[in-house]
Amino acid sequence: MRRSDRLVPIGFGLAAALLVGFVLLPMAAVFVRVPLATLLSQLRSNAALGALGVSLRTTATSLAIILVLGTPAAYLLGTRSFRGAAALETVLEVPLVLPPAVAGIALLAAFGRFGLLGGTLRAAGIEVGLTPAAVVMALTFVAMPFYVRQAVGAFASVDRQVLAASRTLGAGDGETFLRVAVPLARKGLSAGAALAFARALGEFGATIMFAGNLQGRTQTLPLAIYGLYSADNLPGALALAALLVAVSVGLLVGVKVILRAGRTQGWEGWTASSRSTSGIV
Amino acid sequence: MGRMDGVLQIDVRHRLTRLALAVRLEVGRETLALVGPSGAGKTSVLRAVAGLLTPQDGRIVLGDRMLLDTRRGLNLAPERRRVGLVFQEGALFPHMSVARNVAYGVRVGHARRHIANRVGELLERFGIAHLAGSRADELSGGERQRVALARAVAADPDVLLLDEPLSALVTLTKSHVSGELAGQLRAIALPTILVSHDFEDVVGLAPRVAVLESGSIVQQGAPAELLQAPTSPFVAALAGVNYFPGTGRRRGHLTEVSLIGGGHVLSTDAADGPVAVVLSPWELSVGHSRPEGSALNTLSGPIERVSAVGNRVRVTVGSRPSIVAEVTEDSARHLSLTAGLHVVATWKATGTRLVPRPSSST
Repeated sequence: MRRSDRLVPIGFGLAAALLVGFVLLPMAAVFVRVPLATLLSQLRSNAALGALGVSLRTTATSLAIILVLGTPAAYLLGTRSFRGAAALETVLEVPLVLPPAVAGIALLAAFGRFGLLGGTLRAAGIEVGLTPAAVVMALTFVAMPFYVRQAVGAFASVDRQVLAASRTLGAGDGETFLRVAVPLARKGLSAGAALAFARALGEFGATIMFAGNLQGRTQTLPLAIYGLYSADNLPGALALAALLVAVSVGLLVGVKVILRAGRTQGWEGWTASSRSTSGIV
Repeated sequence: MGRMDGVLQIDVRHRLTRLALAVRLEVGRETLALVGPSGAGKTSVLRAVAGLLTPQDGRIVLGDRMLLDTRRGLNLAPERRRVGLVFQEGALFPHMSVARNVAYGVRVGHARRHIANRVGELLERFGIAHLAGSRADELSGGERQRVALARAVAADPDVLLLDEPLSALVTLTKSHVSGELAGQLRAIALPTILVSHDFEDVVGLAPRVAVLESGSIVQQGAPAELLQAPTSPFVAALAGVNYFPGTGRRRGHLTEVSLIGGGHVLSTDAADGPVAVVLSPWELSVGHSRPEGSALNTLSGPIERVSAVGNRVRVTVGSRPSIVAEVTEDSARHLSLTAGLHVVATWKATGTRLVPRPSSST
């Protein structure tokens, strides 16, 4: 073997190693820059606890909205072909490519105090600006496509004949959706939900533009990291960053596990051996 | 019988991208086989009855219930038709056990115990009780078929549609499953349409066969009837007989048929207008030259193919039109019939059957 032949694979390996190191080093730095005990104590500060509470509430609410609206919408797009379906799907994907700051200013222009619907909302006694509701709207806007895209693909790969069989057996459209389509698409739906959750949890740009940065009200974890860092509290910022790294990596690994199980394991967990035949209904 | 007791009446027209479907069928409490080449529109007919395809024009009536009437804008949803459709590969729910698949067909509104009893009874009746806990993807083709049938029957349908019930099976198990299926269909005693591209598959299953070609029913009847007097090239090919379309004209006590591709054939059958000549291969004799005597019809050409069929030899002669003859092994050896040899096929006017030919409008 010529020497140059041996060098080529080494070059490939080197490129990969450089990139992996470039990602791993900052993540490790979050944990080692400040002693672990300090990190943990910082998590008990008012700012940290407040942000954690806001983040959990708003992310959970927005995920619920995404699931409730996104699942039927994705079913429609994934299983029916109709005029304008492709255009509709593209519209729902726009937030993916929109810079978050643009999403924030656009939401302001639509729903803010002086926005298109601002007057209407105010007349109805609704003021979304600087409230947790605004955070939820920003998160939903930005994270929704991550779920819908996965869900459309998951529904599209469900065998149409199986859906048709459900209809001929007397189940209506809604029952077929709930009892056949959703269970069969559940791996893709779970993966999409995890991705949307991760995206919502880390949302920064649209939230700060549209909902502001009020501690305990609209200040989510990413906003608190920025706030603490601006106030020269590096240990506090790093403590929250460490928390987010742990949660995000956990979600990513979870998605990988879910999707791999879908590929190789089939429908385990739904086998009849785990359900006695007396429990068929 | 004036009563339409549970009879299924189909009269639909639908233009598909590559096919104009125009089908009229009536099925009583019997099994009708809908047979035809692939792409003839067989599955579309089933889908139209089940409500999965909405024909552009027509009516579908089941007993005293109107399932579809395009003139009145009536189109029942699939779940309200009580039409049991057994899909080609079963289309079982892969996320449910066999028992849960069957239970799905038993509609809600029944007491829990009732459902469990009904499922147990169906599993027993279709011989799948031992599979109750199995997943759909663990089943063989024949087992999937039985589960799909049990599930369809569980929904208490008024009509049963089976799409290619035997095509997924290997030949070895085919005759066994076919016999079993015939028994089950007899016991279910519902109007049943069974779709197949293979005539042989349905012979034992259905007392009546309708042949669908390019979207239209070209012939209906008992399997033996169809084979005896095929009125379409498709059925003729199934029956393994020669089929020459042409136009008949009376000539004394004989009919002279001018074949579409050229040439004339004489027959003792009376006919006038578009007909087809149907000729069984064993009614032909083959020789080196035109014989003397009463054999009136001849076609000559080089032998294209020689193949053994049991103790007889089948000879394809490249005449115009080409013709298939069957002779004994002895005479094949005696005449040293081999590919390329120029031969004359002859047959009598009395052995020449004439059948009506569907006009070109269908």
